[in-house]
Amino acid sequence: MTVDRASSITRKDFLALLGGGVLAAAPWPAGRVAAQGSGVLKISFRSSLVRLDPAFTVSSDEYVATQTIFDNLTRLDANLRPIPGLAEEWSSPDGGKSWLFKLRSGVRFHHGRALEAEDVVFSMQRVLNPANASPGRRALGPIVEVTAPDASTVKFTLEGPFAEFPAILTGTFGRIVARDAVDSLNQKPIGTGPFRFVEWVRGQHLKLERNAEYWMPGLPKLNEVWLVSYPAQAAEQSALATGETQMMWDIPLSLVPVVSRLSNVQVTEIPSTGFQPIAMRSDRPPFNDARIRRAVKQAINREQVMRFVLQGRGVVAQDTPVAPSSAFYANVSAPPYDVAAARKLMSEAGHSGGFPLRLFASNERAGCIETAQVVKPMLEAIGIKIEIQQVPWDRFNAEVWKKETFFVSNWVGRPTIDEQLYPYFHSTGSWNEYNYADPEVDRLLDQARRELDLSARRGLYGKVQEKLAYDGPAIIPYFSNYATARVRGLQGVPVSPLKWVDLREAQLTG
Amino acid sequence: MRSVLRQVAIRALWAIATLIFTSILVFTATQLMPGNVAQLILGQFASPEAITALEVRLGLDRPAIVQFGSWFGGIIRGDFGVSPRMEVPIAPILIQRLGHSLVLAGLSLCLVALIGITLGTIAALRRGRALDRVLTGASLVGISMPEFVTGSLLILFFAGILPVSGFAPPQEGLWRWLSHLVLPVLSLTFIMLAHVMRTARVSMIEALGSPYVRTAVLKGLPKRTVVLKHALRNALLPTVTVIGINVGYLIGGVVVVELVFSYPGLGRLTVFAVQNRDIPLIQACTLTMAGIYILASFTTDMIYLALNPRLRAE
Amino acid sequence: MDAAADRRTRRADLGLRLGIIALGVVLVLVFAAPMLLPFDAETMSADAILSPPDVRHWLGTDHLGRDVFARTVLGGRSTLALAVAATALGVGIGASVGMVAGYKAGLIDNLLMRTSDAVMALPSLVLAMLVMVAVGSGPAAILLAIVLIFAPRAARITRSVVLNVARLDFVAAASVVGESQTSVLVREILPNVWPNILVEACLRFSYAILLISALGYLGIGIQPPTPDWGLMISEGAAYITAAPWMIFGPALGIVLAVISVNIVGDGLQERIGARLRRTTAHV
Repeated sequence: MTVDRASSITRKDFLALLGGGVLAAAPWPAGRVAAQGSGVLKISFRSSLVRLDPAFTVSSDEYVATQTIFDNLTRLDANLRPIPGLAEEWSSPDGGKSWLFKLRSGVRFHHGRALEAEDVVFSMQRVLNPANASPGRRALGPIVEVTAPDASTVKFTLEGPFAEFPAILTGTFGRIVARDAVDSLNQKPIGTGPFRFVEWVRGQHLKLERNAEYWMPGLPKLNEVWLVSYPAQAAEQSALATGETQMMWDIPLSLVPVVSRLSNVQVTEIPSTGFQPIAMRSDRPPFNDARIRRAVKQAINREQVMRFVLQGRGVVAQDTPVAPSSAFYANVSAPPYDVAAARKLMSEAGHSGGFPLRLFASNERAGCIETAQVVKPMLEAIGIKIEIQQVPWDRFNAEVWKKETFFVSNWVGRPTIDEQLYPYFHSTGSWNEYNYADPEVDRLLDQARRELDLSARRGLYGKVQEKLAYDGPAIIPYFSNYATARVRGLQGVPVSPLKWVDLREAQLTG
Repeated sequence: MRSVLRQVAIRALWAIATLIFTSILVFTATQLMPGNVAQLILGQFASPEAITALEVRLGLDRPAIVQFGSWFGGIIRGDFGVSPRMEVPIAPILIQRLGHSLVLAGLSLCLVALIGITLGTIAALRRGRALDRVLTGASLVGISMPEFVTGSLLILFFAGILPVSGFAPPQEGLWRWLSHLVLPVLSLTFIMLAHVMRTARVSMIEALGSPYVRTAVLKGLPKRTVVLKHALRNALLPTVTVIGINVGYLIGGVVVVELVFSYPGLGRLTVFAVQNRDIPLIQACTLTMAGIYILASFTTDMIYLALNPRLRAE
Repeated sequence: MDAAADRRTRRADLGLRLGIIALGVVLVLVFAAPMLLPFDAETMSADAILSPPDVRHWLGTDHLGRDVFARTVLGGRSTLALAVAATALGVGIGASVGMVAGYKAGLIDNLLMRTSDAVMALPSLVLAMLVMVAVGSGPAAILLAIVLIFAPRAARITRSVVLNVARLDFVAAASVVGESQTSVLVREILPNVWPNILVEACLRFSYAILLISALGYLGIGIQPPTPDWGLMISEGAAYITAAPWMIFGPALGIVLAVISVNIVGDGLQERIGARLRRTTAHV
C-alpha cells in the first residue's frame, strides 16, 4: 500500500489522483496481470474486511483472511478433528490439565525470521491480556499460564482438565503472530501462513501472494489469492459468471437456484452449524423477566421463520446452538408455538397491554433483516409492537451487538462443543451478547469443560441445552445451510461447515 | 481589465470565506452526533478508564473551539487525522478515492456537456418538429429517473456483458479501466443530460431569435456559421451556468452511483463514514465535497466571465 | 403579445393540464387503490416467494412473498405524503426567512445568506445523511433533513425577488404611507413573490420524492417492513438476477410520480412566467 504519503505532492500522488491508486507505486510487470487462470484465485465476498489482526477479528470473512496469512498450532481435518499445524505433536502429561506442544522446525515468518516458542507464548498472551481488550480473551479456553520451556516447546497450564483444548486452538484467536511484527498487523500482517500479504485496499480487496518458503512441501500451489469485496449481489454473481472471480464464498440461500444455473460453476450446499439468534438482553427489562422470554419463544413459529428466511434450506432449531450433527446434541424442545399461552405469559408478567420494542438487524448479512421482518407480525400478535432498525454490519458489530436489548445476530459454527456453548452462554463468555448470567448454566458449563468422561459430559451439556431451550436468552429458529460456488477448474478447497477456507492445496486447472 | 481582476479576486475571497464557514458547519454537525471517537477506536471491549485515557490523549476533553482550531489547523497542513474505523491516516485514502471519483465525475461532465449541448442545439433548430418533441419528452423521463433506478436497470441489462462493479486501475489496461467506468458514467449522465439539454435548447432558441443572429443571417452568412459561431456562443452562457449548478447535483449523484456500482470513490467512502459514525472521516469527506462544490462554482463564475463578451469588454 | 407567444402559452397550458391529469392518476392510484387491493403490503406468503408477475400478483412477489404491486402503491403513499409535508415546510420556512432577510437587509441578511451558502455547499444527499445519522432514521428525521436542505435555497430565491420588488414604487409608497412592516410584507410584497415560491415548491417537490427514495435506498430512510420505493429497490438489488420484477414496481412508481410533478412544474413555470412578464410590463 502506498498510504504513507510524503508531505509534497509527488508524481506518484499525481498518478494516484488520476485513478492509478495503489498500483501506481509498484510498477506492474505486464505479464502478471494476464496471469488469471494460471494460479490467481479471486474469491468474492459480499462484505468487506475491517480488521486483519487475528486477535481482534470478529467476522467470519476476516477469519478466512487470517486463516490464509497465519497458521495455528493445530488445524482441523475434514471431520473437525485437530491435526498437526505448527505443532508437530502434543501431549498432556496429567490428563488434560496441562498441555505440551512441540513446534515444527524450519518454519519461517513472512519477514524471514524463524518461528520460536516465544512467538507462540506472545501470541497467546496478546489475546489473553485484559489490557489489550481482545474479543477472544475468553474464547481460547481456561488458560492459566503459557510458557516456553525451550525454544521449540510451548506449555499451557489450564484451570482444570480440558479435553478439547487442541481443537480450540484452531480458531482465529489461536493464530500465531511474530512477536517482533505486531505494530502493523492491521496494515501489513505478518504470519507463517501459506500466503503472504501484498496489499489491502479497504473496501475493495485483499491481495496475497504465494509464500514460497511455506513449511508444507510443494504447497501452496496458487500464485496469488485475492479476497474481493462485492457489496452488490448482481455484481458478485456477474463476476463469477464472467470469470472475474473463481469462487463465491457465501451464496445467499435464496439465490442458490440462480447461481446453480451458471454453466461453469459448481455450487455446493451443506448443512452448517451457523445460526442467527434473535437475542434478548437478559439483564435488563423486559427480558430480565424469564416469563417475557418464554412468551417471545412461544410467539414465534420457528417452522414459518425457516420457510420464509431460508426457503427450507436448513433445519428448524430449538433455541440452542448445538446442531443435530453434533455428538453432544440433546433432543430438546423449545416451548412450542402457542399464541394464547404466550399472551397469558405476557399478562402474568404484567404486560397484558404489550409494549413497544426496537429490533435491530443488519441488512448486510443474508437472513438477519428477513428474520426481523418475519417475526415482527408474530410478536405483534402478543402485543409487542416492533420497530425494525436496519444497520450496516460494521455498525452492528460496533454499536448494536452486546449493547442493544433486542437484535438479530449472526454466527458461524465453531469446531468444539465448548466453543459452541461456553462463549455465548457462560456469564464470562466472549460472545455473551445477551449478558446472560445463570448460575446453573455457568456451573454446568464449567463442570462439563473439566469432565473427561464422555457420557457424563454429554449429560451435562444436555442439561445446558434443556435449560436454554426452556428459558434461555436466544431464540434460535434454524440452522441454515451453507452454500458456496466455485468454478469447475478450482480444486483442493474443502467445503467447511464452519465456512472456513483452507487454500493450501487449492489449484486451478483448465 | 482591472475590473475583471477585481471581480476574480472578490469571488476567490468569497469562495474561501464560504469554505471556512462550511468547515465550521461540518464540525458543529459532527459534534452533535452521538458516538465517541475514543470508543470507536478501542472497540466495545475496552474499559471505561482506557476510553477516558484515550480521550485525554486525543484532546477530546478540550473545549470544542480548541478542538476545532487544531482540526482546522491540521486540514490546512493536509492532515485530516486518523480514521478510527479504518485505523489508517485519512489523507492518503481521501486522495486516492477522490482521484477515482474525479475520473467518474469528470468523464460524466464532459459527456453531458458535449451531448447535452449538441442535442439541445439540434432540438432548437428543429423546434416544434417531431425530433424536438421526442428529445424533449425523453429528457423529461431522464430528469425523473434517479441514479439508483437507472443504475439498477443498467445492471440488470448489462450484467455479464460489462463489469457492473468495482474499479480497475488504468495500469491493468485501458479497456479494462474504461469498461468499469461505462455503466457508472452512463447512470450519472442520464439525469444531468436532461437538465443540460433543456437549458441548451431554450437558450439556443432565444439566441436564434436575437437581433444579433438575425443580422448575421441578413448579412448572408451561411447557416452553419451563424449557428456555430454566433448563436451557440450566446447560448453557451446559461448552459455553462446550468452545468456549474449541476456539479453540486453531480456530487450527490456520484455518492449514489458509487454505491450502486461498488465504485471505490469519495462517495462510497462518505457513506461508509456516515453509516459507521467514523467522525473524523465524515468531517474529511464532507469538507472535501464542499470544497469541490465551492471550487466548481468559482470556476463556473470564471468561465462565465471569460465567455461573456460584455464583461470582458469593460 | 404576438401570436407565437400566445401559442406557446396555450401549449404550456395543455402541458399543465396533462401534468395535472397524470399527477391525479398517480394520486388516485396511491391513495385510493390500497382499499381495493386484495393484498396487504406487509402480509407474507410462504407459498409465493419470488413468484413472477401473473394475474394474481400483477407485479410479482418479493423475497418474503409480499405483493409488489401493493407495496409499490403503499410505498407511494408514504413517500408522496412525506414529500408534500417536507416541501411545504421547507419552502415555507425558507420563503419566510428570505422575505424578512430581503426586506430588512443588513447584518441579519448577510448572516442568513452566508449560512445558506455554507449549507448549500454540502451536497443535499450528504447533508441528509448527516442529519439522519445525528437524529436517527424515521419519517420525522427525513422531514427535518429535507427542510434543512430546502429552506436555504428557497430563502435565497425569495430574497432576490423581494430585493427587486421592495424597490418598486408602490411598496415604497406603502412604507411612506405608514403601513407597518408586517403589513407591507404580507400585503404588498407577498402577492408579488408567491408565484416564484410556488414554482420553486413544485420543483422541490419532485426533488423531495427523489431524496426520500435515495435515503430509503441507502437504508437510512424509511425502515422495513414499511414499504418505500427506495428501500424496495435496494431489497430488490439483492435478487436482481433471480427476480428483476422486485425493482420494476418501485422504479415505475418513482418515475411516474416525478414525471407528472415535473410536467406540472414546467407548465406552471411557463404560465406564471407569462403572467410575470405581463405584470412587469404594467409596472
